[in-house]
Amino acid sequence: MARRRAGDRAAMAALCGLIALGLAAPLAERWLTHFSQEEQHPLFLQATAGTRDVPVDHPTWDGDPAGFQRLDRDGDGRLGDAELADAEAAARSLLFLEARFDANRDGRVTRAEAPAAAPALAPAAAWLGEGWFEALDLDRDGGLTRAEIVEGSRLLRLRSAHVALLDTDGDGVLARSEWRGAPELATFWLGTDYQGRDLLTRVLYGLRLSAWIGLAAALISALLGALYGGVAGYLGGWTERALMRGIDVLYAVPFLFVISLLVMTLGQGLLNLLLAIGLVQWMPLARVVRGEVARLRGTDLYLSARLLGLPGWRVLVRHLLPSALVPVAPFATLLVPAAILDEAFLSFLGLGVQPPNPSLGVLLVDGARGVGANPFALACPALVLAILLAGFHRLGDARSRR
Amino acid sequence: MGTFRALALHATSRVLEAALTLLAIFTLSFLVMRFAPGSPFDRERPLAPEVRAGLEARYGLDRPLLSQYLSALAGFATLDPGPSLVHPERGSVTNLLGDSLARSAELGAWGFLVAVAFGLALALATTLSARPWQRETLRTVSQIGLVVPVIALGPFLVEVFAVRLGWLPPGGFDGALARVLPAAVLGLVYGAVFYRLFQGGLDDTLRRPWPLLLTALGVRRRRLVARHVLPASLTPFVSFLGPALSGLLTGSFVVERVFNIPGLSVHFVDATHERDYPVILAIVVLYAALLVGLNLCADLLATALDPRLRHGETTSR
Repeated sequence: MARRRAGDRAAMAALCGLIALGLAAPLAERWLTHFSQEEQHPLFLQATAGTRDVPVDHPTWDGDPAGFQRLDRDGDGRLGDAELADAEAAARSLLFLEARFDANRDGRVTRAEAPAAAPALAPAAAWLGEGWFEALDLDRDGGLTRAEIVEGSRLLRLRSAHVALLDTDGDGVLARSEWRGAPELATFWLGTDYQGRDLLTRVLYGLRLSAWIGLAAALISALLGALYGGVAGYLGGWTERALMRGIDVLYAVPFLFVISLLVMTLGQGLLNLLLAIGLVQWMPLARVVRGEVARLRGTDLYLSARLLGLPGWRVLVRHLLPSALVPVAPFATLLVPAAILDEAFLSFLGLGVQPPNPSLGVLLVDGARGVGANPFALACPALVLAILLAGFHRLGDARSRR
Repeated sequence: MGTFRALALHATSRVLEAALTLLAIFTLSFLVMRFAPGSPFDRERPLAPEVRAGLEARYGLDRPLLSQYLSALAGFATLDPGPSLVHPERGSVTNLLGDSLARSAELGAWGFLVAVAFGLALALATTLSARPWQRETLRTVSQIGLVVPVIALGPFLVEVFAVRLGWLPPGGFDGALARVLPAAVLGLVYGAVFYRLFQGGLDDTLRRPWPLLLTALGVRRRRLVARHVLPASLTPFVSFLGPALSGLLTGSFVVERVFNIPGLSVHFVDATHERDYPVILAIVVLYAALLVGLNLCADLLATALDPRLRHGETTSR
């Protein structure tokens, strides 16, 4: 028993941690991942985990004063638009080096392949000088990988957005005193998806949206189920039988059909999605609430409330339902993972949340397109989803054992 | 004799109830579909009004709703829901769905077998294992299917067994090998559900006095569980068979799409996008009929197995 409790506690901790992570997604985007969820990097489609990218909008700075000298080619102590535009062109010629001159497609531009690239590299060579190949070849293995090229072009990738960040006096040019270094590269910690979007950022946002959908849809179904079951249990008689038979009918339709038909009728959109999921999952809860309210109706709680002269609906809503909800809580907890899974299936059918916001379901669908290139794209959302679902299952089980 | 009459009476009332349920589902889906925006004749380029009116007249969509409803009902009652509205060239809906239904049903059957085998094996292993950490590990393994959705499990297994190892085909439904992965995925997911049922049943039965008595009489635990406890603890499994099979059917829907199996799901998704009313209605009613039928069988089976259910407190409580 103690072992199970420890397991429950671990599951709870994981669940709370995950939800906190999801809530902190915008903070992580700003301070940790440096990518936004929709930002596409065409040069980095399905990059593997740990790939470094060109600087993003809010980079950290390396503080190296030598960079300023190299960028400030006319030596006037100020960086103007013309100098930055030159740098940008040089960087662009460098970044396509691998794509255009890697003749044998082994992911490296070797010394032998490099001469063919020399004319196209004229803008970059002007910056890097005669020994540009050696300057870029950081690990001295005689071949340039994309990582090395990206690293070598870091200084040249200063964009107007960065100038605006550095330019403290607002005169549009960078003085030496304003220089804080070349932008540090941001890392795709988990790699990118098939559109070159940062996976970690998307998983965090997906976690947030999925948790939201799960909780909100579960709340909708819990309210609906409590009301439906409560009314049935309270009124009793033929009304109860009719209402419960209605549930039996709905039980006989596979829920995917119901959701698809509902989304078709209501139209797509987050609210409609929540409604559609909420309208499907409430039935088991309604059954439990009905039994509980029917039981409470025979107790002194009901009798004394009615003897005080309270109207029937008030007795039901204020007195019977709150007491009925205690044994129902585990069922309500299990509604959350069910709703999260429903949303994942809907996303798979193209009926779920729409871009730009990814849910974990959307991420799974995206990830399945490129498992071969970046397995993390499928594994990470699946793992996060599994922990989320297992946590809620465990929570529900723990509460029903109590 | 009395027993038989009670059983027959019970069966008749259940069959009637099932028929009414199907009628209600038919009516509901008919109404929901007709009030949904869009029409089967919406194309990329709008049709000329007179062409559209002609099409609607041809398929009777211009008649009053009640008359449309009644004729659709008559069509379904005689198992001929009429032609597809969007692809009339493919023949009647019955022809359209026949082959796919066979494939879906076969997939469901394989999935069910794998799920029962998986769930039962793990449940027995859990019950027979002596140490708590063994039980906890088995319990965790059994729950994988519950927390990893089919849409992740499917592509993952395809990547490993079809792309990397090349042992199995990545999709389709040709040959025995192509059935392995879809059946395994379905079995893993619903095996987790079945595991909980088997395991719960075994635990409950073992807590009764008579297994203790048998142990005291010297019956070995392995024999006790296999010969005595297991048969007595199948009731929760049988009574949950209906809902479980309903889950299996819905699950096979997703599996079909993951593995590109030309089953019913292809028709359903296409038909919902194209608003092909007879096809949507046919698939919904078909699945509902399967569910209601299976529920009915499970219910009658449980009644036949457990005489207590026939008297007093019957089902659905």
